[in-house]
Amino acid sequence: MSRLYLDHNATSPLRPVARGALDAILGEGRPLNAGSVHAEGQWARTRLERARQMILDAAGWSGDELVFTAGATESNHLVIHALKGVVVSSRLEHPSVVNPLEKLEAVGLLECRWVPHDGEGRHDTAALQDILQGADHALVTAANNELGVVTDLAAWAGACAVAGVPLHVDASQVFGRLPLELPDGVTSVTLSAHKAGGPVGVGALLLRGGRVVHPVLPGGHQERGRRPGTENVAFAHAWAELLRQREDRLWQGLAPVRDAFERRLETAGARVLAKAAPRLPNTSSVEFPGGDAEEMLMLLDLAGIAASAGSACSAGSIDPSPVLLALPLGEEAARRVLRFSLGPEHVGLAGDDLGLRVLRALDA
Amino acid sequence: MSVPLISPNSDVPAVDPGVVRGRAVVAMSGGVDSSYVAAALASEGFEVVGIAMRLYGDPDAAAGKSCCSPDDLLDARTVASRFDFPFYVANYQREFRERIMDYFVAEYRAGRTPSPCVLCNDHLKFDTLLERMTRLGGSFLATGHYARIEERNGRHRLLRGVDRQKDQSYFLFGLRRENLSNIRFPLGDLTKEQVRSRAAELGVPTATKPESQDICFVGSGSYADFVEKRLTPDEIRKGPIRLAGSGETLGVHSGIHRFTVGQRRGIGVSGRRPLYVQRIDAASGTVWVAERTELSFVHFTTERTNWLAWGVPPDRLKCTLQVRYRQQPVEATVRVDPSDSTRTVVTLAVPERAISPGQAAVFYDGDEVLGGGWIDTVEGGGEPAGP
Repeated sequence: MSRLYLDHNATSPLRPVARGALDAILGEGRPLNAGSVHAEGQWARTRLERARQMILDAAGWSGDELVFTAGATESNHLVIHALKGVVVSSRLEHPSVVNPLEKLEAVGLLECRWVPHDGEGRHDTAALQDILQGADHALVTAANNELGVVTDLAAWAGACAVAGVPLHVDASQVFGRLPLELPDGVTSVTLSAHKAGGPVGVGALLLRGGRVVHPVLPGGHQERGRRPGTENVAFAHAWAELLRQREDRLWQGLAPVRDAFERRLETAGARVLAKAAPRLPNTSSVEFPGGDAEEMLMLLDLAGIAASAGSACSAGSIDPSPVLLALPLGEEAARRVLRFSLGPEHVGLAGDDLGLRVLRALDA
Repeated sequence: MSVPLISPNSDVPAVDPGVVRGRAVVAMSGGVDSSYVAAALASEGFEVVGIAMRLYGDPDAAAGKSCCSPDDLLDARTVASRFDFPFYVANYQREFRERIMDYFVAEYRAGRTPSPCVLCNDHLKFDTLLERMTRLGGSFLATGHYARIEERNGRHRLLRGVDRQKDQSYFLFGLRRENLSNIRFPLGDLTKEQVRSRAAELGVPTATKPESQDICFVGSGSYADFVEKRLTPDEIRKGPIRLAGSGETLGVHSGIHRFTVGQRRGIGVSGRRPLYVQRIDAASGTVWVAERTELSFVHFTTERTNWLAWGVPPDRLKCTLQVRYRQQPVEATVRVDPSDSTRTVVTLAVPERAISPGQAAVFYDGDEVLGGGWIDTVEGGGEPAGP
């Protein structure tokens, strides 16, 4: 039986359009340094700027500034390391936001305020107004990577606008999958290519409204000195070509598959987390009573099914997801949770059958 | 493959590549021994699932010398990639802390000398991991221990490894009798040199990796420092150093966890002849020292004794015995408590030095491990042991 890949929130395999574009540009064998002044460099520059504009268009960004990075972690860090003063964010953010914020707070460079949330992973937007009083910056994800909960960006942007606080949005899990609504109060946005079938290793940071960033690794003048290092022209090109296909419509078709998948798991006594919250159409975090996530992952993998649980350390052992612990789910419960994330290849499939396949594997 | 990969005595016929012979779960540490076991089983057609146990956070970040450090887990993963079988890291940090490290500290605190490797085998490898093997649909659990399990007359017996320099049967006495049929030690018939050369032949990337020896989780510091860091000041038992026999107080010490029976260096007192730790009395915090000739005893008791050769052991048995890893076996008579077979009284044929409470006493009949227990009280040497 062929493998069943249910881990698209970790990375979604390269879509055919992106692969075709990548093959084409790499296949030409040209030098691809967009910073060189010669004709070859100019050719690369043209491709890079074209990709930049296509990605800006796909994001519907009214600003014209896009800094290419190696991915979402780097984009988030570019923003965070330029912050001073009081920062408002959420404990449910990705580790590439929570970890640097905590580190900078520990050395006294920032003061963090965490927006409360309910047991479904929804921010308490009613509390935002007060929390933002006297704050200097706000950071929030567009959709949570573990639970799939979609943030009420309009509420965040509205509250930030009232308080005069610039808002950064990490749209890694949304861009390329759902239409991205970016209200006016948003002054910077993190984008990632590979969560929606672009190449792993390219991302971007969108900027406007005077948002300033400084290079985390000082070096050359690339990206107007904000992100030194030779730009990844080929990956940017492939990403842009993929976005032009508007495959987000595919992803939106996953909701009925996901719902049927979850219903099947629920018949076996599993509990879907954050079910009452608005969620990405592809993401299910599921608690299996009496389950052990580590062992369930092994059973699934041996049965040909890829899923995920928590965060893997460098050695490959799994620790409970910080998002689940912050929900808060107790450590014991967090160790019973698996995350399944569907992708474009599952559109039109019977979610019930997928759920059944998972249950059979776990029953071994 | 024309060479028998696993066991020269194996009656397993050569198989066509690609023939699946059942699922073998292999405990992998990243060292050459378990790497070779996994690689060889995979090459023999078993559906290998490699599992490494993550037991602790890095004791000190730079340490990569003992098994199961993050670097070693990566080595194990490399072997799995090379031989194309699934590999997982099992996070047993909490179990390890609760069952092994806490015990290690508690034993030193009680004036005993712990044997964490035995506990790790009993409670993690051949308990938690063995259960997982079953749940993963495995046919057996294989490890890189130098010991043998052979079925003779319908009974599975635990035997010494043929490489006497490497024999690890001493650490395995606590295996449960009923589990022996689910465990395989494919290296039991091989010498270390054979394993290395076969590993190299097979292309195992860790073939020339150096041995790990120290207690894995302690890191580069001393055991005493490791234990001390985990004790509150109230828990550190200080007291006098006294000379056995005369009872004379020779000095004071900074905590009984810094001493092990038989220890000579670092005691901090001197006599006319070299002095050794003879006995540690945790209740009074007294470290008793004596000259070398007064360290030997013939009687001791064991507790939590595990029997492998019998479900119910005989009341009295003659056997050979080791009270330490790498010790010439000595002859002994073991009397089993008729009302509780986990307790024994051991009488040695000749006095033995430095029998340490907390260490394991393992009973053998030739190559076969009959059972073993934890040394509890020691007495009856040429000299009275008490104050």
